[in-house]
Amino acid sequence: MYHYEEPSLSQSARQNFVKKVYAIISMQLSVTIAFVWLNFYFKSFARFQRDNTWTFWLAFIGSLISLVSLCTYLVT
Amino acid sequence: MYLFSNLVFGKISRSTPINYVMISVFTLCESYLVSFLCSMYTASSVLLSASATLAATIGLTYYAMTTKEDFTTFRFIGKGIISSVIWIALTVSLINLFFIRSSIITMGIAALFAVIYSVYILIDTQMILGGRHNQVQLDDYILGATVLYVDIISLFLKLLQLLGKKKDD
Repeated sequence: MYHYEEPSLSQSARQNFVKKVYAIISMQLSVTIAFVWLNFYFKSFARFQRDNTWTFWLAFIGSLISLVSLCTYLVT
Repeated sequence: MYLFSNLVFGKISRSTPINYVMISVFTLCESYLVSFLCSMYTASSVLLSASATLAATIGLTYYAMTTKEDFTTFRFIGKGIISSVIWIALTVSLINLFFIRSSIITMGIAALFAVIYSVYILIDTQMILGGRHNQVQLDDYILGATVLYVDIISLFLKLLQLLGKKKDD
């Protein structure tokens, strides 16, 4: 990831890349905002979360595994 | 040898179906965690922290774009101040968690980490925008997006810890 590239490679390729990255980030943030909104709007969802603490740990482990897997190599 | 390793190993973040699956799983899990944590605070304080995060992110992005300072050289991280500050802060917070239990120290550490995550947003924005000493490679859009998303969410959680008001029940 942290590699040096020729800065003059191609300005438009970099612009497309930046657009793509920020499109992905805005989608991710929308999902997060939707979850928080659900939590405050539907009391049943909040109650489900509070009564089932294991879902928190499941999501914790899931996010760790997926984050680490994004940073590793795949043997094919 | 380099060619060979490229044939046998592929970065997961670059192999097309699986990287989108993984980033979706990560986003869903992280969103669930954030919503769980937010449910402990009042709606207005969550909104306040979210607005503060939005304002900080926009300001930091603008600064990263316009400044002549190059944050991608890692003078601040690798051998510099931040890594030692992080280790000291983690040690102090562990000691605080088990022995001192002072809320002032907890808040101070949260404020410190909010500053550190702001610096990370600066660095990662410049890495993504490119044209500096180091930059994210063009194939690593999934990785770039994930890194900046994690920075923003971490900043939000720290600000929520600082500004948030716990529900009474």
